[in-house]
Amino acid sequence: MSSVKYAAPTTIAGACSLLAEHGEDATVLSGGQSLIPHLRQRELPYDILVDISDIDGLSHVKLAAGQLRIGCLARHADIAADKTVSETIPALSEVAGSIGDVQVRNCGTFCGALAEADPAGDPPTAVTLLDPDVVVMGVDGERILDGATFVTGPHKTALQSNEVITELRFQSPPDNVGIAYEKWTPSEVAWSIASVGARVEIVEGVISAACLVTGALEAKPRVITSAGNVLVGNEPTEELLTEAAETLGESVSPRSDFEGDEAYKSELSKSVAKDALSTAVERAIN
Amino acid sequence: MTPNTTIPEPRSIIDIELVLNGEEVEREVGADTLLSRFLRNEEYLTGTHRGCESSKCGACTVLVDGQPVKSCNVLAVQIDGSELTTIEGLADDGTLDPVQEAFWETHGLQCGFCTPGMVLNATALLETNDDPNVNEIQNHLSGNICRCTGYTKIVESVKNAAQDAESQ
Repeated sequence: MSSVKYAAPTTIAGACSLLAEHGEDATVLSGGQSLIPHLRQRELPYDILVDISDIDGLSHVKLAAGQLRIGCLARHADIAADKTVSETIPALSEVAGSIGDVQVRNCGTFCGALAEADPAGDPPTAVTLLDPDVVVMGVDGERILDGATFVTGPHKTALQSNEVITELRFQSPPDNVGIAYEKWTPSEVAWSIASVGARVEIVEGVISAACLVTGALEAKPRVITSAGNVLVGNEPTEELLTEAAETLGESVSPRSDFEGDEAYKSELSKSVAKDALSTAVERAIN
Repeated sequence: MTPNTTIPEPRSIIDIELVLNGEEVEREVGADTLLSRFLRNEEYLTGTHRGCESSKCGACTVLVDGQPVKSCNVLAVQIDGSELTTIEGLADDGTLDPVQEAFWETHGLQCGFCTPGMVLNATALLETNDDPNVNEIQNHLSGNICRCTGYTKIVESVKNAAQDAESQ
């Protein structure tokens, strides 16, 4: 980190301008909880840190125009503690509250973790599932991107290098939609090995729409369409949820590593998926 | 740093102002200086322990505006304008802070390396929850690793600190 330079612009335009001027040498610093370890390990080449923390008006968590809006400086701790979030999308509150530990949640931002797009990160998977509008600002102005396709690969997103995420806008789900997120970590506060987000819509006792997204198992979050298809048009019985979870486990291609081989992770993802589905169904019914 | 609307030039050395253990200070820090390094090597506040150096163990925990953060994973420049408390800032003229006292009385430490982080994180917990149950204490301290005690005495220390505060 020896040649690092630092700037803290007070406007989003200033931040974008610095990012544009310094190109691939520059990156955004917000909470720094993923960035700083990478810089310390010399895994990332950045020489210029553009700290966006001094920009006013970006730390909000609020309901506006029927949407839950989360500013890019809202920390995981802010989201986890916010009653509006837990009442609107409880799963989002649980995701934020499960990231790292207290110290990490006091610094790290949800949008920062999304932009970081770590394959094992929780926000990328949650955003792929919940599909909020991702509002980004760059030197050419504002763009609104789809949350479902925002993450494009490991540590890769649809962001241009001069752009900053400014806000996430989540639709408030209707009462007959249940959303849940589950993950399995090998130890307390560790990165997850398998995570699954589930969204289930139930009309007159029958599942009318379903979406399952995996995280941590592959290079990026992925919608497992085949598992969702098992559910749609059927009553949410225990057997059906098990079948969908097993379909998910058989559809993923996890990477073997020191945490486990492909077969182990595939099996693990089935139970994580079953837990997520059960909670999502319960929430859709109640 | 004075806020302004012009675009600042990226710099290697930055002026910061903070309240450090109750005292207002102005310092120049390197853009790449970690908060833990700043505290230990520049302020000689060596009670902030550097353990894993990878944001896992929590030994370097300090309080920024009353909230626990890991100083090995924050740049010194990021705490510009904040109020910072290290373990040295808890005791009052040689008299232990109630949480420190509870750790002392309950034998909540053995080698002591994790203790500054444990005490500061527990202090932050008790600021927001004056009667935490065992589960809440364990959850709150999950980012602080101890390799000696097995945690039982640490959790008891926090419970006792809460009870001592209540009885006073």
